[in-house]
Amino acid sequence: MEKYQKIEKLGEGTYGIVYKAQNRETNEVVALKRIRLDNEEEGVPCTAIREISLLKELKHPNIVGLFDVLHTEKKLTLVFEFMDSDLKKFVDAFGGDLDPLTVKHLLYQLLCGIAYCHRNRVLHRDLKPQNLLINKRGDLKLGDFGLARAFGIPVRSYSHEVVTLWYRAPDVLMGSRQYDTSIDLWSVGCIFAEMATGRPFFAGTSIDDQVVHIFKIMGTPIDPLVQDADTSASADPEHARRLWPGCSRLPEWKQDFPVYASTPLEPLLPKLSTKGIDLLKCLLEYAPEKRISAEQALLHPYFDELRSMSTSGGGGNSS
Amino acid sequence: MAANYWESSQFQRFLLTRYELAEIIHRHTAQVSLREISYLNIYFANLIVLLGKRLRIRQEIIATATVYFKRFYINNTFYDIDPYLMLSTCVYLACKVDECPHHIKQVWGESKAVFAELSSDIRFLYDVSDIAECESYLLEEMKFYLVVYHPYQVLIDIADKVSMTKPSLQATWSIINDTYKTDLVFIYPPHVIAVAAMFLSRIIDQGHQSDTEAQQWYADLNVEITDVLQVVNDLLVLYEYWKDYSEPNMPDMVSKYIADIAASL
Repeated sequence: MEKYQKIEKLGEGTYGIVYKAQNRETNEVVALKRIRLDNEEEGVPCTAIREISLLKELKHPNIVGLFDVLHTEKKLTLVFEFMDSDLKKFVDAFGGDLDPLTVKHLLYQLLCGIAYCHRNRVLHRDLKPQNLLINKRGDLKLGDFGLARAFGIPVRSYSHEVVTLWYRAPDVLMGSRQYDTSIDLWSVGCIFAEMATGRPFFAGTSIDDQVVHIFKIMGTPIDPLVQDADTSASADPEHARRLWPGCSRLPEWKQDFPVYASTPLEPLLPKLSTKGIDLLKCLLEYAPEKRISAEQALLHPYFDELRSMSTSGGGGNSS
Repeated sequence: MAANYWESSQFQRFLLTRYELAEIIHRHTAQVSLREISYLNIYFANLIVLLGKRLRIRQEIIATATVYFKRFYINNTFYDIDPYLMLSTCVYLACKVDECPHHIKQVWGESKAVFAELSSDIRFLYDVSDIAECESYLLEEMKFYLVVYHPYQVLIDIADKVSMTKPSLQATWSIINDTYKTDLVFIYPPHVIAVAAMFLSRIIDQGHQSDTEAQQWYADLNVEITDVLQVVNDLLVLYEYWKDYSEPNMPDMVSKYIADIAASL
């Protein structure tokens, strides 16, 4: 008899079907990710190997737990802690209208999980609402580490076709191959804005279109190393946001990019407080080296409210 | 995954005491001398390096493959699975884990070439599906704990802090390579091995720092100096054995060794 009793099919993951199931001995509910091994030629798929190897080492309340790996001749089954939903479904269930405190709780947990990965020298590289799992208690956990990698060992360049388009950092979109933890923080910024509006913030359909979507809101970047930043953007009160030293040296930078001024963010995100807008700007910073780190973001005043709640004893379970 | 060795599976699951290790090795190598065990260690570590060089993979991946090989044979014998097949499989899997995958066909082809070049006595009559199957035994044996910590990263970090010269960095790096020809990886954490390798390289080349400076540096380290000296001692034993090691004799020795295990069952 199998150790786990399947309850229902939950969906299709990057490399296999996901089921909800129950442990027959302990009654614990789990998620099973089935990976068929009929591709005898190459053994266990590389993405599965990467996900397993990282999740076996990463243990944190904001990272989905990998309980077990069951291995039979024809298939590999990853046994994960069960999570009721993901961020995309969660936002949709509320008709895109999450209350500001929930957004804050979720973002804080997302940053805790990312900070832990980065401390352990792991990049997630594929953060998007579908990969952020949520349970009934409101805990958020990072899932799907199929594209994650350890960056402990310097590597010349990483393949740049990884992060899902809408959440992809502009430096990666423009062909940078020397990316680091900052790419995950750009994705966090996009997810933050999406939670606050209920809609994807930069929803491009191709790499070029994605770049234009970003430019239309954040403004076309200005390279102060080649342009006189003052004269080219004097009409734009928020042009500081557009300054990105060295951007014109990126492989896919184009001289004839359409030029947009930056749009004020406040009217686009009416639900965010001034502090929330400020944190979002730090996350959606063009220059990767100036982009806020997960560790710093957790200390941002936007989260003061959560800190005062947890010290006064009413904070709940969001750490 | 390099900042967190103390929470790693390598520390929690794969670290043994010297005595535990000796006992385990004795269980399936009772009829072989320590010298011969050392020869086998040198031989298979060398073969992994040769295969790694053909595939142009980094030293850390070669080291990871070597650790997988050792982890498998600590609980199994060469009779259970042919070490040449396991060796190719370890390299194949280590490449996947380190995100530098090579096609199974390529690993298989290069393995054949390495073995053929070494000796016509090595019979590698496997095809790619055997490597895929062997991979599942290897994953099972390691319980899917695949991340391995190495002394190289520690060395790079230290070298940066103490502004080590390039020649001493290289000398220490090659001593670390040699540690994979021993079982030190089962007994000591990577930073102890790295410090021992630095220590030994200083003794060999009489470093540029004055003696008192060096003493101070070692005194400030939060590392058990007796552990460091044990590692150095094990390395000196390795070098002593290595003097009489003869690669051409090894394929023969391996087949005899496997035949002996078979006969004893």
